[in-house]
Amino acid sequence: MIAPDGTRIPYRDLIERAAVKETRQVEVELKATADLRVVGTPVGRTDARDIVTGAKRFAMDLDVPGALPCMVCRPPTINGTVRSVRNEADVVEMPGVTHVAVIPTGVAVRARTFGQCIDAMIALDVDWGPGEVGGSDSDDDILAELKRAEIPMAVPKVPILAKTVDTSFTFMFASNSALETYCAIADVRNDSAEIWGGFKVPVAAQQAIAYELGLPLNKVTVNVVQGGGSFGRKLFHDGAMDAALASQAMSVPVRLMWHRADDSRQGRVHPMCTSRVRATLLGDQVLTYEQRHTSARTDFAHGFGDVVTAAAAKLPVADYSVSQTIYALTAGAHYNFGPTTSLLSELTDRRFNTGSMRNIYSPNVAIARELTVDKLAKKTGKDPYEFRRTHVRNDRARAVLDEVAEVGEWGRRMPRHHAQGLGIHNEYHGYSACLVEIDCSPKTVNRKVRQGVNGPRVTKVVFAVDVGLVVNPKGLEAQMIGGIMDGIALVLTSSVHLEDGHFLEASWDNYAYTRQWNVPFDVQVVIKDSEDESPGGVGEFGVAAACSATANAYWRATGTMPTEFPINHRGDLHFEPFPTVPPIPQSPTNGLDFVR
Amino acid sequence: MTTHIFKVNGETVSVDVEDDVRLLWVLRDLLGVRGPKYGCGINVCKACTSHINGKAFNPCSVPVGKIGADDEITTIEGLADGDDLHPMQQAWIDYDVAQCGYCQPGQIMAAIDLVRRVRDEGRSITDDDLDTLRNICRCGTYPRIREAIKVAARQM
Repeated sequence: MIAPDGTRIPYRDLIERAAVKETRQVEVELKATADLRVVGTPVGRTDARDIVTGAKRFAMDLDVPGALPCMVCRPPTINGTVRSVRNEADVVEMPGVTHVAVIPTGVAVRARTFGQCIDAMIALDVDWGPGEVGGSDSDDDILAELKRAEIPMAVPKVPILAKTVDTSFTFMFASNSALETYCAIADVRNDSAEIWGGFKVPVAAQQAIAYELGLPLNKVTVNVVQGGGSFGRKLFHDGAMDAALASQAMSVPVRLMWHRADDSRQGRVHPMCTSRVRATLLGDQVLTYEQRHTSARTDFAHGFGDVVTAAAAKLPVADYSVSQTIYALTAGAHYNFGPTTSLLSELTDRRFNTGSMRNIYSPNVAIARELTVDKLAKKTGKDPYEFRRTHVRNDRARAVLDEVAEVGEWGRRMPRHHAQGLGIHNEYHGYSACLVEIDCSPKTVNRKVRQGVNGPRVTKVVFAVDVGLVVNPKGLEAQMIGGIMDGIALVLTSSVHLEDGHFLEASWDNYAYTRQWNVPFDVQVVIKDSEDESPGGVGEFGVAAACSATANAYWRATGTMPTEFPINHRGDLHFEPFPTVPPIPQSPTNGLDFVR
Repeated sequence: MTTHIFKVNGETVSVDVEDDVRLLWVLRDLLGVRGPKYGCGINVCKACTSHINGKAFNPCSVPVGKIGADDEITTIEGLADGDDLHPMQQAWIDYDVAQCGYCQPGQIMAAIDLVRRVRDEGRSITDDDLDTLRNICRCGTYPRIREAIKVAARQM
């Protein structure tokens, strides 16, 4: 704690006074917004210099004595099992290898270098058992299950002359893999354990690891290291659990890291889902709006700390699952469309390793909603901007919409195969709107990019946001830009393909997240002055408006409303899938051939 | 095992390891040079991008046996001249490019090499040149990377 005169008081000197036997409410007086000197001013990252000089330390960069590299050889199908290892004695004799041990997720190998772990994983001969995903299950099988689970629309009574507008959209599985794969250092002893890793919910990690190791909670220390990206992944502690169990099985410290192929194929995915809308129109009046979202199960086992738990307790959804609560919190009504409902139906099985992915339901729900809004505008002969402006529920939402329309010159003449598109989204006490310009001309779509997905290119993005009190405008802008990059990927390029019980994508050139050749040339983020003095959330907030604006721009440029996302999912694969046995590809040896 | 001798960031190093171990692991696991990051191990994500004799390469895909005694490896740690940052590093700070920071050592090393190659052709950087960068940033900092490179290129 730093006092106004600069005096520093260490936390340890405050603990005794802060520790109370009962939780009680204490009134504190916050500084008036007008008096804030740091909050609201643009500040660069405090670790910027460490990052650009290579001094920033991630989990795998820490030195823990004796913690040698360790990797896990995983099954060819999702969550498969090890029946037996046929050549353990041979593998343990390989150069650099120190230990081989079976853990619940596969066969762990510890060696002097990660390269030698990779060699050993490729050499392992394992008798694998199946996982719970059927050995022949592919995308269409799961989609058929979702279709069967879709809950019916229930339109309230409307005049007989009312017209019904129906839309239906499918969103394929997508990977939330960060650039840093799952990893952790673990030093497990007989009576204690210490773990180092990037955790968003370290309390959940500590509890689960202590339970699995059979140790009391207070004997497990979890050290939080900054992660190399999360996007939902590091809400979970899958890598740390592997590290703890491998260290326990081998009785030595390990520096455990997932191979990229495993992070992509066995790591968590955003569940496949469908979103359907039925609206009724009488003249140019929208009488009703209903949305039904159906999804493979989303894993929320990590919990959300106090915020959502507290919010959930206040909602009249006591008999709903956590999923229902999150959905109710994030999919709120955006337009005055008469009686409006939005409901979630989730499959309940745990076959797939799932989780949120820079948003949970919102991007998909928003794409379905905003495409439907454009369709309603079309049906009523209205301009999509004017139509939104008329029906949007809230002045702050209207203000961000007006902003992007003005800054982005909504309605300006575009060349053939080019178009603008709009999307809005409200969430986390904030309001956002996005205007996208897209180029779907054959020249652009057919650009040749080696082992990459080209296709339509978003050329310009204008994004306006009102999140109440802005703490750091630079951080807010960066988060919105990141969300825009995700939104472009979700609509145009990135998904994983389920085929015969496993995902085909095993690395980055397979999984087509936004790359430089997909990046807009002009990205503008406008932060609106807000009447609200409480801060909203920004970490995921950019995605929903950006992806829905991209989808609408694509529709307007091509004349065909997209109904399956990403739009390239059914096309020819842009890569030759790696085999599943061995589960990982060997590193090439020709790196010097590319030096130019 | 073989003794391998080469230069890393201006210093001669000696390391005993099998010839086929990829240089990324020799740097990270044996020499403790942890700036180059692992992101794929198959030369597609480019997070480990470093320089060999002043030109970009990916040590995840080069066996240490292919590195000779005269070869000079420069990683992100060897880029600055003491406290004086390379113009690309400074531009990264000025434009607040990084978010998590994991990919950025590779991004910076690749960006410097791109500027050099474009300059060798007697041109200045275009959007088409920037489109050829293959380094992945899962945070999505790409637009700021493009801005920073254009500015740094004028100062290099």
